[in-house]
Amino acid sequence: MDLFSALSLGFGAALQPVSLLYCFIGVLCGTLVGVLPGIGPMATIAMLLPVTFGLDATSALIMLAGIYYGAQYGGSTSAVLVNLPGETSSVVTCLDGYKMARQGRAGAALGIAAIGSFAAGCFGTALIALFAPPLAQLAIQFGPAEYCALMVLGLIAAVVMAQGSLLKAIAMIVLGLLFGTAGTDVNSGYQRFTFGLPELAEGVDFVVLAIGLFGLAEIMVNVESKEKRTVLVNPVKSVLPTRADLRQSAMPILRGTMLGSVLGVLPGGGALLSSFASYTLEKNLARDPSRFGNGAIEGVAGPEAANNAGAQTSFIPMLTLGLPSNGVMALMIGAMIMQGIVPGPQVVSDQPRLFWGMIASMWVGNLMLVVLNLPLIGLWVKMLSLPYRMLSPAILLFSCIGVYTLSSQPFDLILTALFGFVGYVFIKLGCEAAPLLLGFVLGPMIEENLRRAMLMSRGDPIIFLERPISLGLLLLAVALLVAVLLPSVRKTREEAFQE
Amino acid sequence: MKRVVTTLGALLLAFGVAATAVADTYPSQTIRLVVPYPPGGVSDLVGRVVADGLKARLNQTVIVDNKPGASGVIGTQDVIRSKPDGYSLLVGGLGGLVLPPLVDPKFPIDIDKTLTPIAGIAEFVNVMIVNKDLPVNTVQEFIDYAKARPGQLNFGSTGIGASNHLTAELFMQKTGVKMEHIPYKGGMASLNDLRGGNIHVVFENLPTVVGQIKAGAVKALAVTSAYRAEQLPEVPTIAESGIKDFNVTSWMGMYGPKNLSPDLKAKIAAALVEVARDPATKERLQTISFLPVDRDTEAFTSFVKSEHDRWKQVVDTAGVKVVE
Repeated sequence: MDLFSALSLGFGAALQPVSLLYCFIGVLCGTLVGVLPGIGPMATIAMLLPVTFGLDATSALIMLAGIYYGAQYGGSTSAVLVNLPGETSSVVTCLDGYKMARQGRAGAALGIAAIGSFAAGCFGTALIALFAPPLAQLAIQFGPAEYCALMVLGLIAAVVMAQGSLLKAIAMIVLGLLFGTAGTDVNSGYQRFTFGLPELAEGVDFVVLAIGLFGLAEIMVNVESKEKRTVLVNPVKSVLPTRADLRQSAMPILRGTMLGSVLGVLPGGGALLSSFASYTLEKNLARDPSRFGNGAIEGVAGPEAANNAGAQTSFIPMLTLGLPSNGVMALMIGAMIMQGIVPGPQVVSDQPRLFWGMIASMWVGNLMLVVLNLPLIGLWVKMLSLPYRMLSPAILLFSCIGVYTLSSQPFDLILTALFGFVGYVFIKLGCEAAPLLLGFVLGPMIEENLRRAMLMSRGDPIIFLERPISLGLLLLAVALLVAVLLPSVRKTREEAFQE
Repeated sequence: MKRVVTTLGALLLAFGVAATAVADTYPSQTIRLVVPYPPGGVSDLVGRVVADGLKARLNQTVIVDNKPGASGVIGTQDVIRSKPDGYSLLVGGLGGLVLPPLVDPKFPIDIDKTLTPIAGIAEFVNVMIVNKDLPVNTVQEFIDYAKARPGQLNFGSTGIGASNHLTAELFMQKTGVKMEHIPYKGGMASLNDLRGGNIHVVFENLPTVVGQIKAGAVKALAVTSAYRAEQLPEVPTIAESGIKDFNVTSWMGMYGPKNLSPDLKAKIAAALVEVARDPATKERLQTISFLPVDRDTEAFTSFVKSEHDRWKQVVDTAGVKVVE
């Protein structure tokens, strides 16, 4: 089947009224849960999974997919408005998006996030249609050694990304790594840092940590000082991004999309690394890196495009190999099995209507999302003019609901409160929480893959240099490290952070 | 004092009457099937099929309550702490309730003292799959290939003490093959590395890999059960391939809190056996590569015991232990 007839089959399926309806329900749900802090696509899809058993397979998967990429759109909203990341990718959006909001540019930040996401979503979908099978092969090329090298690169990038002093950044990353080690050790089954609590046996949940460190800590700081009790320091200047904003963001969106598309294909950390990677890239390419962290629009545009492209291409291994690249994809596989569709490489040929219908629906869904989200921006921005004494309890409430839906454990709420306090201390000490989160996410993956690679090589570290992809990634990491450590670079870094 | 005794007696009597009455009127409210894993996994899928079957037979709403966390411990404890009134039941099996206590001396739950088996529900086979480029096509060829390369091959699993880990240990014990264990987190992570050639063999649960096998992405050498799988009629069993008495299935059953009354247990077990014998159940389970089994309380209890004993031997022989 050539691409044209495949796509016409796909659009035939996706433009059916019933498919359009489920696509709309999916992206709407996705946007809403994305906006609400903590309630992520994972919990939503898990809750809606039983509902889909009664639907036909194509509608069911179109809806579930819509929730997932819809949430990527919505996720930026709470990050920009109230500094609350619902997911890993929106952590990066907090850095500059929230600063933009405080400067009265919330509308511009949200607008550029929506536009960037739309461009990236469309491009990512095109990639799936054109190159799904070869890209899927890339995922198979990635063994433990390659992952380990990729994560090392990610950690080095985290250092570059850091805002304040290098020492503090490294300390935060290490702390993140330590938090990440809590839970059951994969290799020995031994429980580490769980204090005998079964609730900690699977480690600390990312959402718990992120909501505590970012959201709750921010609320505490905000209510502490009288003059800062409004989220908006400056009045809203414009609701939509200006022409200059668009010009400034065009290249970051393009680069973010490319980066996200490639990293999204990799199982595990791929999609999640992409927004961090995009931010690092933009900061390094910027003429004036000091603007980053202080409301640089590129710092929103690039990562938002990257995470949406990554969300789109993370469907590739699931659809073409039957291998889930993250928890949401694992749920989608469960949904397929329940529909009597056996996930695996044969889905493309056995279920062309389903496969191409889903791909076509992603274009449709992305279009719906941008139409849905642009008018909503005005509404969101208005919400910021609410007095903070009304806004903060609402944020707290939604955060608690979000955390509780993770696994219905009160313990998670206690932990979130604890991390909120820790986050408050960090803000007082001038320590950035973003590197900690990156360390937290990457740490367990590095450890797992390092030990796996060493098991495979029977303890010989040469495995990391023998394999071309792993070697290339490690060399890149070294190059980046040298760039950071070069005295001249360090000097400009320090100058940049003096203000 | 006497009055106290009388009151106590009366109370006990009332309790006894209440207990039978409970069995007569059961179920009068929504029944919760606790699945200690996230939605979309194999336990969850089986739980949902059984919930639908029970709903029709007991004329009562039956919901699947996913309580994931700590490899099933959180959900299991939830049922243990629930009232033994038959409204909180646990979907559990080999992988969650039998194997972990065997390999982990600090496993937080004493299964025998806190849970009671009610009935068997379903089982599925593991299938021995290898990278498609590995130059072997039968179990015997694999054994020869592995023996020519002692200690060089890797097998993947979903973690220490998982059924696919211990099946591989059993295989090594029965054949004398030596391989390195590479544990992974979660169901399908090892498949990526199997397809990439980083690991050589996995004894994977059939439901997760049947699509991979049919598409030729991985090569199936044998199934671990005593019978051939309906989904893969051309794939022989390991026993057929010359390894005597090799018979492994992963199974799931229904458990209740320890003090569940025998009457209630019998009533639930009878309904479950009916569900298992229903051709509609069989058909639905088969789409997810499961087979229904109709073990009543007695058969299931002795089955659990025999499984416990045989795997204990495998674990002890292999020396698989969570060490500190």
